[in-house]
Amino acid sequence: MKSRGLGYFITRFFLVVWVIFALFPLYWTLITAFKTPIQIYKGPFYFPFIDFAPSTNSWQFIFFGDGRIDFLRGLLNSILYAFFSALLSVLLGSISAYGLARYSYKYGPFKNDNLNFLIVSQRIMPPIVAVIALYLIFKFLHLLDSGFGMILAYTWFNLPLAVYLLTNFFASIPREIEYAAALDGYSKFDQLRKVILPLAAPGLASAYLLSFFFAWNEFLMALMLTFRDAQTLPIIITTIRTQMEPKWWILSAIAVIALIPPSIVVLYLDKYLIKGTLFGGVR
Amino acid sequence: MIISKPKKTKIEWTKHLLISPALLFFVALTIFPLLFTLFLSLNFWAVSGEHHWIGLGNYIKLFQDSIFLTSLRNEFIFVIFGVLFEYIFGLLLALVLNQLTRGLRLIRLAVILPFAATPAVVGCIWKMLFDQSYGPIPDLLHKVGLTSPAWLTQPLPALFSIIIVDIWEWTPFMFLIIFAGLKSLPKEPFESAMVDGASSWRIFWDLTFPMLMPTTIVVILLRTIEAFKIFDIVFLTTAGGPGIATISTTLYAYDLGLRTGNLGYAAAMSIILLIIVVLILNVFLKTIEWVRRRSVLQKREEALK
Amino acid sequence: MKKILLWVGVLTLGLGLLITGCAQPSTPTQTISASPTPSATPAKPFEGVNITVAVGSFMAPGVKMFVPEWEAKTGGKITVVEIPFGDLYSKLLTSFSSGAGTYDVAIYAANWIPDFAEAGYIMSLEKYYPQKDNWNDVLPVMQKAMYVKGQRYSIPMDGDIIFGYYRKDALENPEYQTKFKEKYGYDLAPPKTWEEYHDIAEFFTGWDWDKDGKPDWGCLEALGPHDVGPYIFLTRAAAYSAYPGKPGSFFFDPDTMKAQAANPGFVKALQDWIDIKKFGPPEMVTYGGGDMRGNFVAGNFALGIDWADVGIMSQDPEKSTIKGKIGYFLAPGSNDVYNYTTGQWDHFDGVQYAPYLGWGGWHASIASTCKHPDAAWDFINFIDTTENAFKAVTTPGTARNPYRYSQFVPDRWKTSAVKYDDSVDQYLEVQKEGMTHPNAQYDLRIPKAGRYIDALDKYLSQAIAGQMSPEDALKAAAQEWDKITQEVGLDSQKAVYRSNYGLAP
Repeated sequence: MKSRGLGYFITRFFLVVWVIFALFPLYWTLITAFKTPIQIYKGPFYFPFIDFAPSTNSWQFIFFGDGRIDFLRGLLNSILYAFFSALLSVLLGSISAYGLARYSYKYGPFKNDNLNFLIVSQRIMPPIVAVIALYLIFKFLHLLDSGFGMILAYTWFNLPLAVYLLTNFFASIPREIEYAAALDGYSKFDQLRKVILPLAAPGLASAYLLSFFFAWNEFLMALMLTFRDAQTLPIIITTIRTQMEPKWWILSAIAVIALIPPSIVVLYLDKYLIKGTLFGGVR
Repeated sequence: MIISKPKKTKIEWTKHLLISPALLFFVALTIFPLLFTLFLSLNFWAVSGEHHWIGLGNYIKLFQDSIFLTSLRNEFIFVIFGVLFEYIFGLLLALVLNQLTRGLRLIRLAVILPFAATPAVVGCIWKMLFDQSYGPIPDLLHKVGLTSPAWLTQPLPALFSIIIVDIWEWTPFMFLIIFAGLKSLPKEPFESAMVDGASSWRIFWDLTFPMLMPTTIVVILLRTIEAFKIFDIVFLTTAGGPGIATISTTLYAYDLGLRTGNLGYAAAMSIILLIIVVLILNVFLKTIEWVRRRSVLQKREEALK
Repeated sequence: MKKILLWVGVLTLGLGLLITGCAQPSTPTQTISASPTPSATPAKPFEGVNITVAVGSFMAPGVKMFVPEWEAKTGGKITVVEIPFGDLYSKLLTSFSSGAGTYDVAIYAANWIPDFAEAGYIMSLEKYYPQKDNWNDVLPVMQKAMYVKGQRYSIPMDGDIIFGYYRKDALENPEYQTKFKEKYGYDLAPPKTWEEYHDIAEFFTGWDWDKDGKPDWGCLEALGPHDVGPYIFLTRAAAYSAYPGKPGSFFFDPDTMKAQAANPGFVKALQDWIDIKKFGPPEMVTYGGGDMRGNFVAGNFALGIDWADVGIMSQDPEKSTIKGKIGYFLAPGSNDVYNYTTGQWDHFDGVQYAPYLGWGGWHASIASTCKHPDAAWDFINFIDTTENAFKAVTTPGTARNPYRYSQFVPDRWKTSAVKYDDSVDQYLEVQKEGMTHPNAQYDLRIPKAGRYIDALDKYLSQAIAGQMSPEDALKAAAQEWDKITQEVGLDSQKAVYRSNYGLAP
């Protein structure tokens, strides 16, 4: 690609500006986690040790203090639910997406694109009332306040997204590659495994990441479908936020910790995300 | 988008099996809540369970509800500006980072991170950032000699602030999908174009953008659906205020449904929002279809000349 | 590589489901309390009994602090479920009405007692009350709040009254006092009427009277929507609308049950309230109670209106820069009160106060579905023993404020765990005076009280934002109030309302 033109500098400048924009609030969260209430209310302090003396109160509270049980439980639950529900969503989603991408369907008046739209339309309705319905279903099935129930709920929540995304990605893989592999004697299963999946790696990775994030940050369902044992991090955060005074400093500490598992997932999946397609002669 | 090859017979049952999980989930866990919501919307239904039938009463009340209408106006503002800018920025980021793939893991992480942050805290932090007494944004603006607008306390700046937070939080979403889409494009056309000496602009406009069309459609569709449900950001930064200037429909429904306990009314709101979004999406898809068909026809005409 | 990942995923999935499925009955992490072990001493009364307590997030610390001791004493087990404050009402309702029986004990606002009692969600505690030895210690005004149709449905945990705070370094500074007298013609002192409150707020706005290098503000109140705004507003409205000697004149006309929310008293209060925007920071219109407290104790404000929480928070050196600089005053009253029977303003020579017991205080009730009411009673009684109650109201962060005579003894506070300074005398004095005042006003305690308050909140925030005039906003609120009353049943609402104030039905 063209290198040293105006375009070069503009693109890099844009990137730098964006990264600052993206990271500044997160930086602020980080330093707030080290502030005392007075330091927060007395005006913006920007740099620890230079502007203000950092304190470790928040960290002590969430790891050793009263808050630790709820916090750690919330953290563990969130990690479990996000990890597994995203996995399920992507697994089940790939299956259906592959079907939608490769075969033509006709259920009554619904053809492929319609089905696709139908599936993704699940996400349109504001969850408020759907959650009440889900509450009733769960109560009937004795799934309230259970990890299993929450994973199920989040899989339902993310499946449409996964299907819709992955259909697009699978469709963009030319069929010729599959035929070529078939000609080389690959079984259908091997075709999928060795040929399609690697090519769809960026799509799968992005679908997993997004499902993970959605489950990680989901609030309304966790609020209505859990009571104590299965509570997630967003609930813990909201509970603290709505106490007598919003304890910004503790919230920030939790938020910082809450960024770590998603970051780990992103870094791990990164290499799949950047796998480019090579055309022709793929093995 | 889908070309069917004559291999139907053997794979009949497989393909039905493939799609069954998604459809099963759909029927079981979506149809029921949808019907339930519809039913609720035709009743006066309090959270305590007491209810009685009122037919279209909720809907009639809704259209006279100035707060509801304001919330609809806000929805359109948020969605149009949000989706537009998020798409543009997401696309730019994806293009830039597509070129510089080597060893920029951390940059990619930095770009994605805002979306991984819990909205509950994001809202609080931005509220702090915008605060005119102790927030850094007004402070920095003052330091460079500019006046800071009343970010959260006047109607127009408040709308603006919410859009800013929205862009901050959701651009990574667009970026992720578009980036994966870019990575899935075959390299050959690009290599040959470069060999032919095409300029980056030409490559983008004639090659990248058209090939990204399906991804663009997907990403705008998904984001639009999500954008209409905007809740956390508004709730935490302005709580719908000042007054009701920035209230979103989902927030209003939540207020009425869970806080005040008027579930039937909230259900009616959800249904109306659903109808609006479905209509908009259908219009969107039909428009795309129409544009595509026209350009295909045009190309055919040109080819025939 | 992808394949291995897939299989690993499937296997761990299976394992994970197994684990989470099996982990259901027991909690994944251990609790701090002692697990019930059989002791050599006589069997503990509630061995093996599990009580689930639902509490709004504000008060959770005020409950949790007593759990270990009770569990050790009785062998029972307490599971505390914290519910975000804003969702407390709906979560309790959903749980109660579905008959799920998830909560054995609920700790919530006294205003909802009639609501839940009438619906049969909570059980009458009359049969237990003879066991209670410290009932008479409770202030009469709090005692009455627990009765619904002659039966008590709760144990009090907390007394709520909204009053005023002032900065001594502002109002007691001789130099400022002279300047104030020059400008306004009377002595600078804690305000007795809302006019005085405004004058003082105006005087202290815009200059650095606390010498910290930044200009300061005259007053701070929680004007924000979806929070405690309506209660702060009602504190003002009470002064103009709650006619002394006419119980029940505050919210509705007790004879017709028509909403009073749009009467001239309310309108004046709202106009005043909107006026204070210029005496506080621009963000004040977004502040909830929590924001107000955190900001107030960090300094910079001469006057404030809140429950007793600010007083407690001000003692915490981590949060407060004003320890030792705080004074307290009864919520301002008025010389003129609106008379709803004549439709006129009546003038009084003395200032008429109407201390407002906003929110009514936290109370604990036992759910009708509770399988171990004896154990539940024992626990909530335990949180309210004279000693424990005192511990709770003096500890910051418990949201529990004084409600028993025995708690209003200043010397005990100065020797408690958190060392309160001298101002605690005045702190307790003001609260006690308010709660024992002949014209003390209960909060709205009829079924669906939450809906009325929410309706008020909706229109208040629009008036504050300038989107509606005060008259229009309150008229709309009053109309909605009347609509809600009609929906629930005018006669039944009137009956409950009248019985709240001791009026004949």
